[in-house]
Amino acid sequence: MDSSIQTIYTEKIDRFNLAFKRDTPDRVPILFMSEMWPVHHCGLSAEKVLKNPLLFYKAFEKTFSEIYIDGLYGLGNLWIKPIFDALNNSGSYKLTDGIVNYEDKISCYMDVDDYNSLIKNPGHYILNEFFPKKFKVLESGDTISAQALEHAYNAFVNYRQANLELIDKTENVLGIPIFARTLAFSGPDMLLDYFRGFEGIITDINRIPQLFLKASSALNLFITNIKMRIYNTPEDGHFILLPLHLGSYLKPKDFEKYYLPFLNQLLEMYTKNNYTVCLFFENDWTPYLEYFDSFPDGKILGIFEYGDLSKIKKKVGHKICIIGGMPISQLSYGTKKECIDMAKRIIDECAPGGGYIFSTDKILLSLDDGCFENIRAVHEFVYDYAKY
Amino acid sequence: MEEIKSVEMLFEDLKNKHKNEMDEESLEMIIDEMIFSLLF
Amino acid sequence: MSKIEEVKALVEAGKSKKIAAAVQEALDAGDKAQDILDAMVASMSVVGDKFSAGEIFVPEMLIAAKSMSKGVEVLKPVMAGDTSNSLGTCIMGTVAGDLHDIGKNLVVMMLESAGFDMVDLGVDVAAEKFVQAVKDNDNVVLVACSGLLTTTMPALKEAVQTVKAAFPDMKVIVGGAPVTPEYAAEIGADGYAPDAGSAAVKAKELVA
Repeated sequence: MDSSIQTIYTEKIDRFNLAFKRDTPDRVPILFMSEMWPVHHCGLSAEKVLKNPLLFYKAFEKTFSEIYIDGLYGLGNLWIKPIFDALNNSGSYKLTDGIVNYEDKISCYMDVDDYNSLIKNPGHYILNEFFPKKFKVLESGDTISAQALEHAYNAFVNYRQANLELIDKTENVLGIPIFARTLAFSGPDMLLDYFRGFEGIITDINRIPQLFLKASSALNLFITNIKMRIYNTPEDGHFILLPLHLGSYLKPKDFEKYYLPFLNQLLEMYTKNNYTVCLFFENDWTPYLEYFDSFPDGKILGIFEYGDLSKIKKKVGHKICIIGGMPISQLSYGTKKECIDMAKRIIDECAPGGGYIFSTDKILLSLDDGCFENIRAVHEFVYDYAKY
Repeated sequence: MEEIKSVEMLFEDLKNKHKNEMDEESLEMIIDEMIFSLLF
Repeated sequence: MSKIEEVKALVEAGKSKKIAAAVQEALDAGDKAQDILDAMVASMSVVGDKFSAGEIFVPEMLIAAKSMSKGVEVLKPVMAGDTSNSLGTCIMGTVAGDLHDIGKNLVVMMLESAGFDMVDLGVDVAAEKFVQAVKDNDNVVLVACSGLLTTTMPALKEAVQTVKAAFPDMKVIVGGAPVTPEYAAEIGADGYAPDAGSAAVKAKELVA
């Protein structure tokens, strides 16, 4: 890394890391959460940049020469299509503007009778029972299956390489840290999102709660072990991104019993090993904030999509670093002045005492999610105004 | 007759096939990441 | 507690295993099928209101709706052919490019519980498919479109406008996380609901 870039990069990452510890940096860090927004801003399409990752980098280079940012939250789910194509799985997902989205009803291939097998050995179950159901081409276990897996492996290696190069250039040439080093999930969320689907999981909690609890526990350990192997440099200033899904659907009494213990267990395992964990709170978490007191001490961050951020900070700011605040609806539809007024209010309410990172309330997916002039003006304002 | 293999065995074959391309730990890591991404 | 009261209580509490027997007992005791159905619809309306008020959460609403559908199965043979009390047919789907269906499935259940005959087109539904479904089904009174990605909001607009162009009097209701009442009005929808409970209330209002 060029020494001037090194200085910029270190300054930025240090700024975040003080906020992660709920300390006060020199000023409020600005985190940019986007998927294809920079790509469209540069007049490119998702298809183009997914084929040519260098163009993706070019989009970052241009966008962030115009808009000041201190860091990117992550890259999103990119380039995954060729892997699934290699295994002939075309039913459950779709790429819309480069974003992978899934149909809940048909994305879940685990039957209710499979619980015991999953509980006994999650790794064995996933490979030998779940994958052959999900990817029919693996069912026969013959040369065709082996070839399909080989193609998927090659596609994955290409995908991984492209991801690493994009991260490497963004960090080492532009000096902008990309924070999510890996994506992890809790056991209950994996059961919901990958194995049983929404109706399935709600019915299971109601009818076979013990199996749900045992399976959640087995998956919690299984996935954490894998994640700690994949991302084994916990003190590098980056984080594990942990999106939370099922929790906010449950009534608080059920949340306490069926979700919180697994979330706490993950947080304990990661923080004990010095990882920084960034929780992505999907939906409105206002009804569950009182439970945050049971979180372990450590570098825990929270991105909030909904709720009053200043109230959230008052309530849980002693346990986690708060991220978010700027409504993307305002960035899309508001005037420049309205946006700056809003940013000022957020900074005045959330920045005092540190432990706060400025960002949007939701990820900028498409170009319409935020007007360029407004984003630029708001970031300029926060850069100048939000000094400690 | 062709041997019918479990997916676990297919992954073992895959590892053996690519073991000369990198060290064992890196290969294991890539396979783990791939398995995780296939859950999506 | 009368048998019909018992059915109501079981729907509200989401006791899907007990509901079929209770409905049968109510029929055996001489209650009219229509009265039992009305009672269940009333229960689900209470459930929807409680959900919108934050008193109950999605799982309780889902389990209540599932219980009601178990009860309706018992009534179906008795009421075969009698559509006098249906609110009409509603066509529902998640718009083109979008595969999110958790919210859409909940709305289908809640509208069904409110008395609509539901035609669920599934996900990734092109605007023209909504129009075709209106043509292909009898007594369509409402089209409901869902979208969860900001990226698919243009597809939501297209769906609403294509349906409105083909059937100017057709009522269209929209929803999904990025949708606001203002956006719904801007794209020409007749109604918007922020959640599945209020979707049922709004849908009934639109076709009244």
